[in-house]
Amino acid sequence: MTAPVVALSNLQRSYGSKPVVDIDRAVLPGGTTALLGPNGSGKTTLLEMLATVAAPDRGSVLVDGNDLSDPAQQLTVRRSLGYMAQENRLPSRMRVREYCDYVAALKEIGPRRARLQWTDWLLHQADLVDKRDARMGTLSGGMQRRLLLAQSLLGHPRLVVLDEPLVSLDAAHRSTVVRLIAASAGERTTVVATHHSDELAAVCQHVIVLIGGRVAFAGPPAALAAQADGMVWETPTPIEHPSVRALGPNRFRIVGPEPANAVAAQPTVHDGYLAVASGISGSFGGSQ
Amino acid sequence: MNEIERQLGAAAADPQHLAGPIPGPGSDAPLLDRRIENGLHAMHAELDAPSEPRLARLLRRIGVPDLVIPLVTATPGLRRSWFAAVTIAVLFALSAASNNQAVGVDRIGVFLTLAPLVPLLGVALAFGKGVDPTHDLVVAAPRDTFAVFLIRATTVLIASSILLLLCAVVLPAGGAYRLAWLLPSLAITATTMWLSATWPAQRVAAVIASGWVLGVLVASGAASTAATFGPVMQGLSGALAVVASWALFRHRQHFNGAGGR
Repeated sequence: MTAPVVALSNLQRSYGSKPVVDIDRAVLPGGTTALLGPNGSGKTTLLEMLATVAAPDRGSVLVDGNDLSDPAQQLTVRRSLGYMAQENRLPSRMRVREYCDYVAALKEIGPRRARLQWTDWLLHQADLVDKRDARMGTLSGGMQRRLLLAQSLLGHPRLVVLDEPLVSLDAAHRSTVVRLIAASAGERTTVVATHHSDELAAVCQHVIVLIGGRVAFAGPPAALAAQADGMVWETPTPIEHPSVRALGPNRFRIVGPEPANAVAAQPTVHDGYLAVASGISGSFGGSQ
Repeated sequence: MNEIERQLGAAAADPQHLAGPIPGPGSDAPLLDRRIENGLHAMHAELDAPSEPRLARLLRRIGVPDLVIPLVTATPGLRRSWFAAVTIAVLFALSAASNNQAVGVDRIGVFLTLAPLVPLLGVALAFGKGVDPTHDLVVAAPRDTFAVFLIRATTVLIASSILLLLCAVVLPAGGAYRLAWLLPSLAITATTMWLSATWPAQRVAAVIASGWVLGVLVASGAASTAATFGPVMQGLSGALAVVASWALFRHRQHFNGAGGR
């Protein structure tokens, strides 16, 4: 089974008079797409529309040809949809195992024996087997994040929409989550909003950068990295620059004009993103 | 023979059988690995299978469908703490009315005014973005969002009604009037559910609850309790309950669309 293709056309959603998402045209192919952008760039609103929890003011979202504005076609998409919201909103008094059972019932998985089997799978994926009888409110932020990610994969959805899945996770669990996202990439379309662009780059086939609700870049990760060609520098001296990142003692990395005592560095996806976000990239290799 | 014995017996005869027909979690692996993984999850699930919570067992015994049970037990308004608070509030109001009988406060009138608000507020707290942390999941799931709303509303309505019937029993007088809250309760709750298709349930509930209390106060100023909650109000309430329920079903698609309610 091939992964579904998501097509966005004239998509707009506003809060008040200000459009938060305003996309003329974009296509999210099968595999994993990373959605990058600064805070307030419309990533969460776009993901909410893909996950059918928010409706566009105008325009259309087609998932494998199914129009999300049509109730019957929307139901078809929901039957193979997994969604992880940005916030850890969980019923604090519910036990972990009851929550898994509840989510499985929402996804129409039955009878109870099948839900128990899925619950066992879900707890293993989230590395929370020992916490199955704990109340949700007692879980740490990272545990809640892992549980939310695992529930989004319950039932093997073909379209998975993840909003900041790596937030609050330690390095070990981040790599587990990246592995989970990468699994079945050929059969699934996964859209991931993230600020951890370099960590996801290895498993992404496609990147979209949203700036002010518009697509500023769309293309493969290598093409995004290439946006910063000749603009990435490492220097031992602290420097005042919006893109400066400390890589270690006496090692600073910037994307921009060459500073003093600097050596050129190989651009990464994150460097490319910074170049696009700051509007200094040489040429836009991607398209809407 | 339990699930483990069944799986092991079948696997001994044919290793390919392991969890074969079970639409299981194992997915990202070749077919044989997938079946083995499914078998392991089935065994783990069997070994770790917890006994169902008491409420779930009770619901199963009275014939509630399997897929509905987790939705009922997860209803946000169905908390012991909420029911305890409501019971205490109603009993406190009755007690206060009892102490003030000397100055003309009508105890049955207080009960009949307050009782319809309990299911109304319960329903308002059972569903919606503001009160249910899993609301986005409910909307994005294939399960009919309107059905989830109805299941939760019905659950709270039944539980609240049982609670109020118990409270009515402790009233020393009033006769059949002790049940005169039932139809008004259905009417204002159904109206709230219908209007929730368009506006947030909590806001609608606040407006309707205020309107109800105000209406009863005005009506009871001009007539006795028996007249206020008499046949005219019962007839109007019954008619409103029917109309609101019909309108609710007509607007069911508002709950299922993107964003739900």
